[in-house]
Amino acid sequence: MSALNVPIWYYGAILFVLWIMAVLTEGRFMIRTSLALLANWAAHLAHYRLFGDPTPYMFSIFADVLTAIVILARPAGRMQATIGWTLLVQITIHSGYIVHIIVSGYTLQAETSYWAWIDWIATAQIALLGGWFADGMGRYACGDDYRRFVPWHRHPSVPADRPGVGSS
Amino acid sequence: MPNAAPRTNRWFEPQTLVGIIGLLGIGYTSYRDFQSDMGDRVNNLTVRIAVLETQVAYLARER
Repeated sequence: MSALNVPIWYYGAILFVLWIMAVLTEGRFMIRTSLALLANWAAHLAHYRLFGDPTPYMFSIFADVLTAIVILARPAGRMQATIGWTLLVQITIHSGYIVHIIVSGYTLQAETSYWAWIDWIATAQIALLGGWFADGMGRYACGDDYRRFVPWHRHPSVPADRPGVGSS
Repeated sequence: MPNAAPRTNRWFEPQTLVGIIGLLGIGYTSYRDFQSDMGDRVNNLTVRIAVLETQVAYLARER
């Protein structure tokens, strides 16, 4: 159970559904992003099951840095970049918690608050991923060519951002 | 390579600085939140109010 009174399985279940939908209908960018978030969730769950630590902040920083690198390496657009930035926010909150542990030691109040911060960010990540998916579906419903959004169906003859010839 | 765009260092763009300052601000805000004992104070107040309510109910029954 998380600080927002949402069972922790719900996060994984929603991420899993979004990953399946991305595999079925979207391109490799959303597949990569949803899979990275799902792997992050699974890694934290496995760590908790193995070691029983409810706030493994050092492990969380390590896992979130890896996830942020996977998501932010050449992002497809603003939605993917925003989801990557939420990982950076998560890393700063882990750092804030570490400073608190160093300064004041463990307190139940801080642990509860730390859970709440992380849960809100996880909720925002799922909302952003869902919004990204809904955006793609909305474009498809409005008549855009579906294959335009699936990278392996695209064969651009020229790069989209080629430099102007002769201009400097 | 006459058509190559000039390379620029993208790390020193203004939005990067704004992002880093924003991240530091969020980290500091979370640290202040972890340091705060506001939750304990609210819990204590809640307990105190419950005690007072019990006393009021007891007195009201007496009359």
